Amino acid sequence: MNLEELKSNYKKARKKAIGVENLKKMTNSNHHPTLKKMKKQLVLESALWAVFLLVYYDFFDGHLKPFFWNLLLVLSIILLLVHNILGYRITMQPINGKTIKQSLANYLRKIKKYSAISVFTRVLAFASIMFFFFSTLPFGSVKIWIVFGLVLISAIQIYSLQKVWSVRIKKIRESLRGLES
Amino acid sequence: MKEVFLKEVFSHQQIIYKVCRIYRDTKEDREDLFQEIVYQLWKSYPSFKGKSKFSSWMYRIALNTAMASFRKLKVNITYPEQVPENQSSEQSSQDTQMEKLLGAIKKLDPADRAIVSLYLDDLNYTEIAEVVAITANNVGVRLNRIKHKIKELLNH
Repeated sequence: MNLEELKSNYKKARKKAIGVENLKKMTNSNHHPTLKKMKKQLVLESALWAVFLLVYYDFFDGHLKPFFWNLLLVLSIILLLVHNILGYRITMQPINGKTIKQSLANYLRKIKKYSAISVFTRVLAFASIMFFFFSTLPFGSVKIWIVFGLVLISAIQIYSLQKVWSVRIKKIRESLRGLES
Repeated sequence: MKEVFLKEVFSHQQIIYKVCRIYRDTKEDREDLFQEIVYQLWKSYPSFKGKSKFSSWMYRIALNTAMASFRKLKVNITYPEQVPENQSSEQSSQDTQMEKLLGAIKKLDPADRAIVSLYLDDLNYTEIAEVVAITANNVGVRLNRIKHKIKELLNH
């Protein structure tokens, strides 16, 4: 097969056209496959954390805990919410430059930063929740096992999160390297 | 503004279709990418000043989106695509050749896929160089290498 011959076939490649009305729908973020789900998750998560922030002080005896732990808990939850919004914004903007190479390089920088923030906020949120709930309880074998279990679950979660990001970063880095070689 | 944009995208939508074919394996992933590209095109449209052809600009955004967006993690099951029964034999042979070509392109790395898809749609070396930000000379060198690779893949 000659590539020049295939070129004309390629140019003629056809598929049933998508109508203007459907294309118009696709310009709306509510029809975006990833953003729509992210938006839902963002709203749900934000609502749940907002409810938690409103009630934790009374429900979980915030007034009995040191002020510092209260502050750290509130700050880490706010950071989690900011982190979610940041993630949404980054997903919304894969185009970050006037050429593909420039755009991928800028995008790579952004997601590297974001992945570090992502892991940090999870660790911080987990640590502050743990300290908040367990610091004033007397130490006993049950408590140790609960803490151990929670640490293990969170460590697995954080490890998986880090792995997801490293796969994404590797993919962009390889594409960029391909353009630079 | 939106009407002009939609008219242009409507008449050039085969570009998006080809990029989706080259960068995604399953029908569902291709549909998701198609929507994502249209969304990104609309978001980037204010930056299109008409200095390049609309099709080159569209290729840049589409390829960039395909290379930067992430697929959902799932088990990848692909089924052979059905060949419509009421096609002429000439059409069917063209489709088979096309499938083979797309299959070979998919085996290249993402950057080479971008370069060869631009070449196959008749963009010249300077235009390809502008879209991906490499020199026109480099485009020539790389295209020779890519053509060689595709020929090998097609002959296997």
